[in-house]
Amino acid sequence: MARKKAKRLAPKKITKTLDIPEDVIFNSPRITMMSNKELRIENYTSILLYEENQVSVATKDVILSIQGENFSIEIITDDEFTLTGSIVCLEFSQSRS
Amino acid sequence: MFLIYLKGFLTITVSGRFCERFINVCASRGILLWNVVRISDCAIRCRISVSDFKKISDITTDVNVTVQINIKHGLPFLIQKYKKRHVALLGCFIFIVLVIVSNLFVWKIEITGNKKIPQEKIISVLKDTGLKKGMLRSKIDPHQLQRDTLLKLPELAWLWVYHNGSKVIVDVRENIEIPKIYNHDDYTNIIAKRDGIIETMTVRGGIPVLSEGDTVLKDTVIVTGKVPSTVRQENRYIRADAEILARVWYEEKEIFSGLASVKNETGKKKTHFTLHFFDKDLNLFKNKEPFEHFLCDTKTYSLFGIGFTKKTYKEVEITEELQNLQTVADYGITQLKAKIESQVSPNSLLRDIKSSYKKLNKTSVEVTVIAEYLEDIAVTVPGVRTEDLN
Repeated sequence: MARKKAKRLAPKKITKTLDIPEDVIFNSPRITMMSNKELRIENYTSILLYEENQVSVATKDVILSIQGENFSIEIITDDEFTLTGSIVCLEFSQSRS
Repeated sequence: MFLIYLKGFLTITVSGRFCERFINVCASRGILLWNVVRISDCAIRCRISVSDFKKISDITTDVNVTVQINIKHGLPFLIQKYKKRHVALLGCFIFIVLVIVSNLFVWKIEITGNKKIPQEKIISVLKDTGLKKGMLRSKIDPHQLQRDTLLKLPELAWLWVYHNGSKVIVDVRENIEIPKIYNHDDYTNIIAKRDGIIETMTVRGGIPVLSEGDTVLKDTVIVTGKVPSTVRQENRYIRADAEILARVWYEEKEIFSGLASVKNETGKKKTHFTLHFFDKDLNLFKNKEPFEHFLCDTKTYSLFGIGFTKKTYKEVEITEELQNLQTVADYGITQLKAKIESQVSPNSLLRDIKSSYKKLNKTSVEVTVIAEYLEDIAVTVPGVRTEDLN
């Protein structure tokens, strides 16, 4: 049990000691926002829903649901995309995996 | 963005139930999409490069969506559009060649730095020495032009020619007037330039004959350079030097007529054109003016030394109208004040100015302006020695 716990916490300790960003090691999503007009997500998995007023994005750990108005994807690549529009709220929910 | 434009890109509409799947599959395969906008429940519009568009045919089949091209952007499509327009392409080519060839010639000569010497004089001398409109820029030799032009124009101290495209700029510097050099043994006196009352005297050399407060008439000696010697019998002669500030009066009197000529347009117009080819003019009409009394508006248009002048002649009828005599008097006062100012030396100080007018008859007034100035009235003149007279 203790060995399992240590094994789980080891990567976190290593990144903290060596001061390496967590999203690079763990592929965690990094969300950057500029006011409520632009949102950039790095390390996303797929787009679950894309509508004018709602966008749902699946990442490694969570599902991010973005609500607002007049959404458009400014640019999309295999690991990041930029969403523009008028963002009203962000909702995080646990992914099934 | 410019690189993408060079390669070309498309605005496409993707229609189907699973547009999100289409986006995800494109992203996973490294196909770049941008400006993705939802246009309806079953359709999105986005932009994609031409090279990536060729890769999405199997994706559309797998995901079960249809793709429609809305707009084609970029240089490849522009070239395809204009490929068949041979004459337009030839025209562009001829235009580029003409611009390059015309840039080899001189089309404009600009003179800078001259204050007293008129531009036309410098340009005519430059023409004789080998610089004129329409010549090849490569034939300009600044050193030779400088040598030859300075020889022909001794009023110039320095000259240089440089070109900025098809414009040649000639930068000149004029000679500074050499001040008169006086010999130490020269005998000069200071006399009055005009009548006045001496207010202050600053004598730097010589013996003052008059003093402050004295009235002086024109050409009267104020400071003499003849210094009587107390040691020897003979006089000593030196150069008198002084600044004499005196109160002087300028008076101007003139009769001004109240009848003014008023020009009313009759509505008749005629236009004459003159063609210019470098320095040569060609009149398309005889030089004769079409009307007896007219107003002429002249406009010149030219490009690369070739152009034309458009003269529009408007016939006018001249009638005489009686003006308000007060207005005429005010105008007269302004004119006479300007006349007085043109006569006064630059360093003079205006003390007082009085103006008046008198009506002579119904149509004319006599205007008088008297101005008092504080002016330096000293003028240096050579003196005559008593020994030379004997």
